[in-house]
Amino acid sequence: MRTDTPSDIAIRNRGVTKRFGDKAAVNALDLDVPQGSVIGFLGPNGAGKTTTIRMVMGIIMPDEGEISVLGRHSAIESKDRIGYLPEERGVYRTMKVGDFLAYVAKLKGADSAGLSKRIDDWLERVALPGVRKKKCQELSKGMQQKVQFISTVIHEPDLIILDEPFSGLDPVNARLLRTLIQEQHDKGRTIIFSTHVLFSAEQLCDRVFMINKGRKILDGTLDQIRSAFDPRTIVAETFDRGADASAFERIPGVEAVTRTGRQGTWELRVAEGADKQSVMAAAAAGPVPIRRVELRAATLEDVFISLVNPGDSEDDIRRSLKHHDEPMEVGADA
Amino acid sequence: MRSPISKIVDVATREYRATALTKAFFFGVFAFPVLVIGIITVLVPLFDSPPKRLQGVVAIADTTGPEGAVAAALEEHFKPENVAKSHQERVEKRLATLREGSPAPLPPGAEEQVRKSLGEPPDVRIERLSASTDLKAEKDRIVSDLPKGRGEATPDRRLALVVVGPDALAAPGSFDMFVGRGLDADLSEQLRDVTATAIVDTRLANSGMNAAAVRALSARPDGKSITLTEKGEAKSNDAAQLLLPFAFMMLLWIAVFSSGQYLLTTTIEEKSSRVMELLLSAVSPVQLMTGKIIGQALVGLTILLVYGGVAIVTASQFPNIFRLIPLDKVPYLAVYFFVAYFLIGSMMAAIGSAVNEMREAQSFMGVAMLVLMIPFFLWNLIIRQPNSTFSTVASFIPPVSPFVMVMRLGQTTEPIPMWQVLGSALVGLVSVVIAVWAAAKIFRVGVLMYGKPPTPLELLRWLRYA
Repeated sequence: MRTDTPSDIAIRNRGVTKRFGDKAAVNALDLDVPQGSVIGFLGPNGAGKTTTIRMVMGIIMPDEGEISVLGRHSAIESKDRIGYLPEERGVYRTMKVGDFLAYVAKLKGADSAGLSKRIDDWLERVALPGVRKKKCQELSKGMQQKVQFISTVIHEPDLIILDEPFSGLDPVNARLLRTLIQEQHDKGRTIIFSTHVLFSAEQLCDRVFMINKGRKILDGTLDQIRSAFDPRTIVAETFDRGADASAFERIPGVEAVTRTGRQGTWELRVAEGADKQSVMAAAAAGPVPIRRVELRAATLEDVFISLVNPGDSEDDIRRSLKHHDEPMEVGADA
Repeated sequence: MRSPISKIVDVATREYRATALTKAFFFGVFAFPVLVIGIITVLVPLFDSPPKRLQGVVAIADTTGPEGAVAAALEEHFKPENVAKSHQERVEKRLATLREGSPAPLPPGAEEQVRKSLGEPPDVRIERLSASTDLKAEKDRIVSDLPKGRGEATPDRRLALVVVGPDALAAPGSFDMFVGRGLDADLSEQLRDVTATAIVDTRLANSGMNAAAVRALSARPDGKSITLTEKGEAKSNDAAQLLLPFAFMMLLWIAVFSSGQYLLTTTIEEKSSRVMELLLSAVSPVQLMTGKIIGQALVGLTILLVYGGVAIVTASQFPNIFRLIPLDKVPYLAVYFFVAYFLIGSMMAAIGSAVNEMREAQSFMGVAMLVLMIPFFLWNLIIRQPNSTFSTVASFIPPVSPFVMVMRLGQTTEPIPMWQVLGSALVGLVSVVIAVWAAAKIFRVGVLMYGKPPTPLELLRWLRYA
């Protein structure tokens, strides 16, 4: 029996499952995306992110469970209010940029009145003036990605879903895209995007949703996630840039020592259950002269890696969640 | 939110514009018929210029007897009154042939056209040579009389030297004819033919027979085939009976397969360029597929109109053939185009969605093409025996049924029972519904599948997916 979705929820998934053959790509997934939020949808390759997004978009149907999008029981009923940038994206190579954008906008229900000016404005906004009459195949890959982003938002959707929007972008264009996403957020639009660029996710998201092997393993705001994850990395910077790392390895409670990108700076991984204060004190008193010792706050990357190591089995992930049997949900709706 | 219909129209419009309004399409589809029309309207009239007139002097050294009977026969043949008479007979014969080919009266000016096509009657003077004549000098004269430049004919030009010895009168016999390089091959053949006839006439005369009477008696009778129908007698035209139904089928084939091929290509292109998922975020797979099929149907209709138009223009150049086209059958062509295109189009869309590149599509196309080539292999039998068991059964088996029915309807020898026409159309329409449904199922799964192409069995399994 269907349940009504509150109006402040843009996307709600309940028990959504999708199998391909014997393999469950998505398994009993629950998800709420509040209206007006920016959600980072994280997970390793093959976790089920794209399958989830495709089900949300109504491109493929779930085997079990319910999905509601913008208050409707299917995205099919509200496609024109959704902007979608797929992971597998492209353009019509021989079509002119302006024609391509106008075609996609019309398919998505955009009003023809003022569409031409809107296309020009957007091309100007992404630093692509004068390409309107060019064929898409004449553009570089980065330029095409900008055009694809415009095609996602040209019809001014209420909900924007971006699947790996930063893949293949250089730092300059990645920054531009972050700015554009932020602008859309400022206009009150709900944005959900999957990414491996965790830096961008940290910059943009106010919530993070992580899945692995089709199951939810994390759901909460960034602050909640950071505070919930016990930081276990101590950064130690030595005066002697040629200092021997083995000195740190002998400190009781240190699990591993790795050199950072900066010479003379080391990361000490504290073993689970060990006293961080004692380790820090031992490092400061240290076997080598120390310039600085600090406990590093958990980054999204730390969280990601602690939850999802390549080759991890489901059980490994469960163990890394500090004996949580259920997916970790932090915050008010946990 | 825009209605599904308007989205389908948008997809169809783009599909049509992206295919038909391109230089490649223009050159591939329009340029070819334009070239054909150009050849017919410009080059054919050039070839239609009247044949050269046989005009000049033919010298004959006839040693068959003291009277020179062969020379006398040639003189008789080329007498102006005889020439005029035989020329008129040729005109009449050509007109009679034209009348036989068409039920309607010939258009005004037909006789004039025939006269023009036959050219002016010959104007030949026979010059007898005596036995003592120096043949080498005569041959030199022919060479010196060779036309210069364009070589306009003149009444005094020495055309040929014919040497007929006594052995020519014994069958089979032979004679020599010396002509200059400048003499047209047709004129040379005409002259040789007349000489040979003169020799035969001489033999007949020597045997006491009247050559003209013998020729008249030995003329082969002309057998006219007349088809008996419920509506009365109809003159048969064997060539038209064979070619017109085949032409109908070819027209259908070209239109259906050209647009089907475009559909396959654009689907693969959308998939390989990764634009497919973007489209699916705006339209459903069924809407997308329907729009594409309709768009390419319009492309097929364009091809049909272009090639059909060319056929009509071409046929209008030949009034007797034009009148043979069964115009009352044209609406059936439209119905069977619809059935054939949607069957083939659905198949192409499904295949295009399942594969990643054209090369992979070929393996699926192979079997399908083999089946669809059946009408090509058996067209002659189907047209000659339109109501045979095979022809009747094949009319109810999609996807070959539209092609078979178009051929059966295009022939005029045997009427096709109306229940078969309607039944075949009905079966075709039902099969269209099933084909579009199955293609939509495969399309929905296939468009998002990348990597190894599916096997035919996997394709069938996709039919069970949502």
